Amino acid sequence: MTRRIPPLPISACTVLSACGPGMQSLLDSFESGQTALRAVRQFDLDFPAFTGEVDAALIPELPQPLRAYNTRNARIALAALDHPQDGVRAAVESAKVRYGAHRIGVVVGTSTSGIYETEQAYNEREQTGQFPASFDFARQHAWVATAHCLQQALELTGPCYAISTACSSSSKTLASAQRLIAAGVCDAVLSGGVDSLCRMTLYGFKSLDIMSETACTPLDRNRSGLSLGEGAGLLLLERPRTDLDDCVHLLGCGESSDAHHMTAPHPDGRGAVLAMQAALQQAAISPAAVDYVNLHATGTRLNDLAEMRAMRRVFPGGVACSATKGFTGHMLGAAGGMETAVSWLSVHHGLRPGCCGLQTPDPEFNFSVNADYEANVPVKVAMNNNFGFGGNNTSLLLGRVHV
Amino acid sequence: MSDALSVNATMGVLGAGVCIPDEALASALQLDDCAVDIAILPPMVRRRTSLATRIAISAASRACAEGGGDLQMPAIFVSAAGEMQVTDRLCQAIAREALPLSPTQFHNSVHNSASAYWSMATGSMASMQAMSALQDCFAMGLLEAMCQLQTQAARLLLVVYDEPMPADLLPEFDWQACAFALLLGAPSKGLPMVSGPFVVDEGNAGDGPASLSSGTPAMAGLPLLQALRNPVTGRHRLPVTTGDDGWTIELQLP
Repeated sequence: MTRRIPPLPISACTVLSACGPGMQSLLDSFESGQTALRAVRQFDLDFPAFTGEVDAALIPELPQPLRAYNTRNARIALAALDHPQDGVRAAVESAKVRYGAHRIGVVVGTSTSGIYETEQAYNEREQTGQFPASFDFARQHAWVATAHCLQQALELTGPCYAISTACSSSSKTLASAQRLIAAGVCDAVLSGGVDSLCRMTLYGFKSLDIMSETACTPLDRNRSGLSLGEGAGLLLLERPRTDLDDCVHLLGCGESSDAHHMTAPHPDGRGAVLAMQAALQQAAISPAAVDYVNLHATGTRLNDLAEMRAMRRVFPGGVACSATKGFTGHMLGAAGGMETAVSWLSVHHGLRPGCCGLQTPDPEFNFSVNADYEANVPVKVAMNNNFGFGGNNTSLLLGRVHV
Repeated sequence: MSDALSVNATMGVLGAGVCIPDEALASALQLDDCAVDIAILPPMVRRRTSLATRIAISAASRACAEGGGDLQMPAIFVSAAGEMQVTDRLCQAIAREALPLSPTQFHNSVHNSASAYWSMATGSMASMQAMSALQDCFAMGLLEAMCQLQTQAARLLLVVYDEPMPADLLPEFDWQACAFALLLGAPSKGLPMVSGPFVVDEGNAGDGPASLSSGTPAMAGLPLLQALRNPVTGRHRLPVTTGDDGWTIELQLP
């Protein structure tokens, strides 16, 4: 017995990335068209790479009773939660008063959780034979550590779990949050994702030979791979309520698998097609009603090509689309949270980000891409795509319920 | 806390499967048919996959064989630490500067590795979920399953699995390789039926790993699996967590 899933309001939304803290930093980057990617600084690598590192001030350590969770991942998560203008913490507190702590879920995406600290612990063990006393696997490295940290920081007692499906992790948290609310289990769910740069992913993507040596240029004919970024994108999803009718809403979610390969997408993007179509179907929206698509577009040869083939299938009449990883880098498990926030900005302000770094679109695409920033455009419905290792695909639709 | 999940739905159990490679342990738990069986994977893949993925796929195959039907359905894979043995090898390689990393080990280190191999082996293009919740893996997986069945899926596969942890990471813990899978669908007369998870009494749900117990998180499924193997007609309350936060289900056996 399946229920009709109603559009659900996003009552608060924030990001933290190399572009800076808060939604305004993203808006400023889109307006200026400047990338936040720089030659890698946090790590001493044996190959050239550009990264999107979070420069915003993070608290040096977590207050009690959260101290054991002290990782860069948790510090990024709390800095995002506490961004004053975006007010995610205030929105959660308000939902807690209205519904009760037990009715608010926490579902957080991550690909590597606190591995940055785990790597340091392994280094220390190489020198001394022992992990440092501060190393706490369950509260730092375990995939659910950052979700638990946020749950405790907010003193919530509802369901709490992590989703880790590589680069689609945090898009999938929105789909789970939507179901938790639609099934009546929760009244509000803090969703999104957090990831911090680490050697494992830098050396890992290098081993797959898909790291760009300069700032990545998704969709360009000369694109040469991805650049990694770090940060958070957090969104509070709530049950429908009259006083939230003016909020941007989550209209539909689509999830699928390629059933093809661990790292390469299906060449025709067949799983991506299914995810986009499932999102449209759930929202009961025709492709022609979509005003903007934030592409997954990482900057690798194969991924961008497969996604554009999928776009051609789903949007035969074309649609305005662009990729924003040229600004932030690929934030992996936080990419879905970040890019859902981009869709939120697009609908909320009526804008379409440009495609940072794009000079000449790949002529093989047969589908047109927005290279330049557009402000004051009506965006009633925006879509964002995220595709991960193992052919794990997610597509989300955001929009207004009253226009 | 007692009304944490006042909205609860019932699910029918269409099939169940277990994999506990340690024969002595399986026998002590009075569970049979627990060996690793990854015939569904292509031979090249069989050699390269981790113990975590092998036991998850073994349990999944068994539950599907018991329940029958089309494998084109959503699956939810839940593990406390997932591919920790592979991740441990990568962290060691980085610490010892044994670079470059193995690309195969790198892509096998992702938490959704088991679900990806399952999707490729079965050809299922449905949604593949990969979750983690430490000691509450089974409880949160059941909750996700209940929500998917309520909103979009007619039937689905839930797989909960853990492999032993590498030495030193959780020194006070002794996790055993254990996986189990449930094929879940709409409730129907004649089927065993389980409720979604709920919290009994004033529990500590939400305290995170403050209450982390040393038991293998996937072993939270053993009371249910044992009850399904030796059915006693009627309603039973069973714990679905290895923690002390009170997550419970009701099982109704025909």
